[in-house]
Amino acid sequence: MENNFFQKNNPNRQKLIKPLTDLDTPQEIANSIALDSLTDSDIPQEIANSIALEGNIPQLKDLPLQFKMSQKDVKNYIKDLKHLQACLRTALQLELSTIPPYLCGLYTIKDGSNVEAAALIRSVVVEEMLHMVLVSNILNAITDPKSIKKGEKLFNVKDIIPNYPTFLPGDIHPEVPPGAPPFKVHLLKFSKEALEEFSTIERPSDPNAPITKTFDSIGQFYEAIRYGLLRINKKTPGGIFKGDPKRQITPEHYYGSGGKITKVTNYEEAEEAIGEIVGQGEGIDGTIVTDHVMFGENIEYAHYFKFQEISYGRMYSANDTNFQMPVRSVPTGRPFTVSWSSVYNMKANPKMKDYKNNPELLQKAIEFNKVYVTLLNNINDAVSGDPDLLIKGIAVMYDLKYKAIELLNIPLGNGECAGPTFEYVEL
Amino acid sequence: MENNNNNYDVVIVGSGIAGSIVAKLLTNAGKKVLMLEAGLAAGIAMDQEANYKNYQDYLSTFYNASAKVPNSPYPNIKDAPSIDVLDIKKTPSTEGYLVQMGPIAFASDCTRAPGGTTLHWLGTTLRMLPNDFKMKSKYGVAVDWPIKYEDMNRYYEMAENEIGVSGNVKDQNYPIEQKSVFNKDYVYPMKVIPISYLDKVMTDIIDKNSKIILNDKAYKLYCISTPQGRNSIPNYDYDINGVAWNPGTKKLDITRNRFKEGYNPVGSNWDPYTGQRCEGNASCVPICPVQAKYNALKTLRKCDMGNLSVKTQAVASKLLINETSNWINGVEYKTYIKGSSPEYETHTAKATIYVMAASAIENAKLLLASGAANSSDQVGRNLMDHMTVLRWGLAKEPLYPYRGPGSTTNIPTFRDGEFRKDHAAWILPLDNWGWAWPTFSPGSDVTTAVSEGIFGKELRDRIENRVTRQFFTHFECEQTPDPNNRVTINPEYKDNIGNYRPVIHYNATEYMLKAFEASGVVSEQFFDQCGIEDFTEYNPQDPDYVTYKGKGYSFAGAGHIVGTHRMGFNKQDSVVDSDMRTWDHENLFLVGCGNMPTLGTSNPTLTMSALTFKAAEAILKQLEQ
Repeated sequence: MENNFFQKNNPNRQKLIKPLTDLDTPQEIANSIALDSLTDSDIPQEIANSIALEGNIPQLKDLPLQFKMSQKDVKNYIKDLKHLQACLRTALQLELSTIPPYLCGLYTIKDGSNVEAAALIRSVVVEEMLHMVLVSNILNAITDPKSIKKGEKLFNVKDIIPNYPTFLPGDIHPEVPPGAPPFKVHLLKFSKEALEEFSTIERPSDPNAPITKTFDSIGQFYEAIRYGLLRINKKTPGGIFKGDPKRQITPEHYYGSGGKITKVTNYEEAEEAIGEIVGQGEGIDGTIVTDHVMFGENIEYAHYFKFQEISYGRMYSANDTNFQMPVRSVPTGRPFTVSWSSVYNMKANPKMKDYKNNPELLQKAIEFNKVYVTLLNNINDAVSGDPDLLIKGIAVMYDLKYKAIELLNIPLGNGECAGPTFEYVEL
Repeated sequence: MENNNNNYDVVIVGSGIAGSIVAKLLTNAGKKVLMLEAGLAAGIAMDQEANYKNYQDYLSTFYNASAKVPNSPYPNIKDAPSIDVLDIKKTPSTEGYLVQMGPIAFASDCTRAPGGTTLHWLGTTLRMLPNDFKMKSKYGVAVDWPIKYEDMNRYYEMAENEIGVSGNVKDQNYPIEQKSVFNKDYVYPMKVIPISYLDKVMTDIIDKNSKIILNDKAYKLYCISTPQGRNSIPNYDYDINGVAWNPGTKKLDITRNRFKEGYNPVGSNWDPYTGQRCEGNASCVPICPVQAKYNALKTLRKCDMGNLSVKTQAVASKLLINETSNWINGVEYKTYIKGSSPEYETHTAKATIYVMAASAIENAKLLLASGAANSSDQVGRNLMDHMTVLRWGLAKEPLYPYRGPGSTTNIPTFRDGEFRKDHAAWILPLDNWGWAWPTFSPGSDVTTAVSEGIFGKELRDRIENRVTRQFFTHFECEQTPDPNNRVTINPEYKDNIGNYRPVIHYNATEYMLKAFEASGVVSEQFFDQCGIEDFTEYNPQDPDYVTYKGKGYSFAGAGHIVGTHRMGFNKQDSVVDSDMRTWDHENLFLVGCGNMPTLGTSNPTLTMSALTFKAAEAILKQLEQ
């Protein structure tokens, strides 16, 4: 099956991102009206019934209980250049916040088991790192070199490291089942719960979700950034893309996934970079381009669907087409083995303080975190004007894994084992 | 037992690089191909999980092996044995798979497994030099090829695309008249593999020193980067994207990208995103843990699978010849059940054209066993290798071997020159493996130290002090064809399922011994000027110990098994023509290193692959006549 639609060399690939739109869909507005009077996401049955009786308002049973920011609010979310830069730093943190949970999922898979799952998660991790680089490229592109102090880095490693469990940075609150607490990201071993968490992180916006004040998906947050870039660039004399091109990371600095680095020097390239990020994360706005085969060997598709494959233990096949949100179709391609038991039984959300009574274990946790901080420093240096450093991070990534495996091999005495804590330490 | 349906266009024997290239080109041109592979079915698994599992098995076998020789990761099957360097003994010897009649032992191995010897090759992909193709007319030695370098250029470009070569064309400064052997503006698919730490240090030292006097002539040793078949950063100036059969012109076309996209590195066979860059592991031979190094299964995966059938555990045993037409009628093969028991079934594979791609020694053996293609009496003769003289010593400062792949730099000074009238040329790669090859270091360093009663911190210090300073290089001397160096068969020597074992006669001619002597003269000056304390020692007990003018030399094999069914100008002087079609049988092609009339000083896989593209072109042309 020959299909290059998502392949990095396809010149049409970046066009997969949906054009910016002005209006909420009638469905979204209707949903919001229907739910306007509600303060609780758990809708009482009698109200549901009464809404259902109204003619042009949708059947409540079809209503997803997901809320998202209105298109108007998304459009005006970014205030000015400073705010835009701040949002891009938040986006960096957002991308980074997903890496430790995915790495915990990956590292806790015991060598030789869950081969496909490991390969899928690995490719996602590599792409999250790509996203960090892409966001950095956008941020560098709109940062006037004159405003950078000598030796100043693009971000602050200490501040950017999240404290797990954590909300998704950027005021993003994905849908949770009724009655469940708001969504937070936890560090979990490879498990059904972890896969559910991963899917939630990457889930696309529901096109029909009613309106609220927060973003419901990473995609919606990036949409706000796109609007901001477009609007502020237009109204700023001479535009905002005044960055130093030498600070851009270029395609040759990156490999290991289907992703592609875009150099950003203008709005179109910034949009292309966001298309890459959002497209890889949740798919192209949760819709399918029907005249193309979307799945199968050697076809790149979104993280959300990769996680669906692991959850179902089945690859998508070239015939699987319906991935309109909310996704109902399950993968029907080649089955593969997923073993939830060939896994290190890692304690959830491990912390250095958990190990304070075991100096040797604490030392190993510190060593892991030193490597983690080294890796982030390396990325930070690379995106702060030294792009060639990026490739040197590879050896550090191996080291990170070895140090994590050492921790996972230490039992805690209650049937669980230690794990990497992904916390900041001084080097 | 007989399988008489003749649905295949071509039967290919062997899934190594030659067989895989032919299969890829033919199936993608719509031809039906049956491939016979002697190795185990597990090795050819195309699905992710099975492929990964099998490769991890290879890796763990390698990690556990006490002697990390080239075949150590791969199964040696009784019913289809591989040659193993551990079996090389003083001759005559029947130990191992080869029957070594001597007077000295043939010293190289190869792998009988899906993917062939590319599983353990180093990956060096230097082209042969223009004069290598005309040794007779230029230097009065050996024979000329029926093909000139200029004819090879486009096939070299195809092979470099297929293998995915990393290198810097501008570095390729050879001791030849021509300014460059490449087409104008040509670049390799990927940028040069980063030079190892050891090579950086040694290049600096060698460039400042190393003015050598040999036979009253002055030479300057200099270092260049070595092109190699392992993944690196794509070169965005490279625009070739493949090779396709053009039914109109009846030629293979090099196809090019419309956009500047660069080469797309081919990752591992279990995950396209693993192995997209060499990660600097030093275990290239015998196994790249991430498959950043090319292997033939990467090519096999690119076949049109709808047109390809593969039978594994299927050992070709005989070619069937039609007595009136002299065409090949079929390949008889034995399918073994377990690999270790003498049980097998005999089948026949039939097609329009037959391609033997089973390695130089196996091809020759099969032809001899079938009484095929031998009207010239050249089958099995002219067996060649790079006879390799090892040299090792200790540097004053640490060189930190093992940082990076096996070899990233070579000294090309003696690859060509007038001296070839007198003695063999050689290439001198810098090696990144300490003394692993000559002394089984670092294991032997530990054993020696422990036997001296050293332990604890003192032992660690001793190992650190020695291993980090180990310098090693080797003179790969171009062996010239000698009809008496040959593969034969003898009904007395058969394997577990009744196939012939190769019987080898092998010796070093004076042309080679003179090169060994010269290598000594060069390395003494080289080591002396570069501050390397020479620890080289040749033991008369070594299986390949030879003496010349009162001095002893041990040589090793380079794993470059070449020349057993040479290509030539006519049916009297050679086995195949310049399309690699046998002179005797119109529908029988031979591919692989056996075709090469001479060896040159480059590792032969790239040249052999280039020739295979040429052969595939001729096969397609013949099929469409």
